[in-house]
Amino acid sequence: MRFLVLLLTHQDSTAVRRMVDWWKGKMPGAQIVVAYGGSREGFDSLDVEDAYFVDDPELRTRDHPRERQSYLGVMRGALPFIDSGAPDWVYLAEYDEVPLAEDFSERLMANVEHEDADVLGHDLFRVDGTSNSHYLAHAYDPGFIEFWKGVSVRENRSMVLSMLGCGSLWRASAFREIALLKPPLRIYLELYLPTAAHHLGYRVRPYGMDGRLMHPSHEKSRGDVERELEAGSWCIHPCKEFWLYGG
Amino acid sequence: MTELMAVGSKSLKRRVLDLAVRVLGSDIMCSRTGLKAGRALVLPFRGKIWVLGLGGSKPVRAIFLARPDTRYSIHTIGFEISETPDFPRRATEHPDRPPSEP
Repeated sequence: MRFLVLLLTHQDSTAVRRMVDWWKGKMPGAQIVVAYGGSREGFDSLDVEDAYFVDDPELRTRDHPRERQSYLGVMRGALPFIDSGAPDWVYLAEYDEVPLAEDFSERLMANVEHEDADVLGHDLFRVDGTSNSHYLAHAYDPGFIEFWKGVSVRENRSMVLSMLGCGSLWRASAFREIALLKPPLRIYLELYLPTAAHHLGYRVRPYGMDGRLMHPSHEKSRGDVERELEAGSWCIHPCKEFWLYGG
Repeated sequence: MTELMAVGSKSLKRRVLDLAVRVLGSDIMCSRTGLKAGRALVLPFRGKIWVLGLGGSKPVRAIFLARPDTRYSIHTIGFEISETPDFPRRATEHPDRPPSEP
């Protein structure tokens, strides 16, 4: 299996170098591509093989859910790398995710096979008709459900899913197809990613791992990382300063 | 300064709400699994049920609960944690799409 790891970051070149080297160590053979969402100057100073600058205002939000942060610009920017590298799978990670397991790729594929999945994500739920705040804020806009009805191949065309954007694994064809959709309104990435995959006919499933280690509710420390390394965990998030201080 | 006051005011409101939920609220239990979904203060107001403080817990769906007898004057609204999606893939015209399930 050929993997492309897409790392979204805005950190400085030293931190990015550390992050890329770490990922290469955990996923040998994978193509590592940096999607840079920081400044143009920061991008110009990068010292990595594969990188592109994301020039998309929908990525650069401060209050991500309320401003409906989107990864469409990130995904579209990755398409030339996917076309040239022809990976089977794309792993989408944010800078604050740290892979821990030496057999990270094998664990991913074991989950794919166990779940018979096209897309794997963390914190995956069906959220239409629920208390999910992101869903409720989108459902207020009638264009939101109308969009899904227009693209869906499913019987229930108004179903909405939610998952973390970070740490998601995509069959390359699913990634490409979803990147090329053109929603007429901005949709928060945690809703857009799994819902688009589902309505285009892909099978979206959760990972089998302990969700606490990926849940964004509290920042993980270097001590947490070291403890989970010893415990044999396979990844941890969020660790926003991990690469800044040595990795 | 106005912005700072707004931020301070917001966090004060948030603290008051958190305290009210902690003292006056109740655990929100999933009626299907028995698992705790979160904690909230549930209030009726102007013909609606307001759920305060549930925050970013697992998504729950409000439902009228089944009961063993027929009662015309008492109904109970409970909550269920939303299910994990488990739907088969559906084929479209894309050639690299894996085969669909029958």
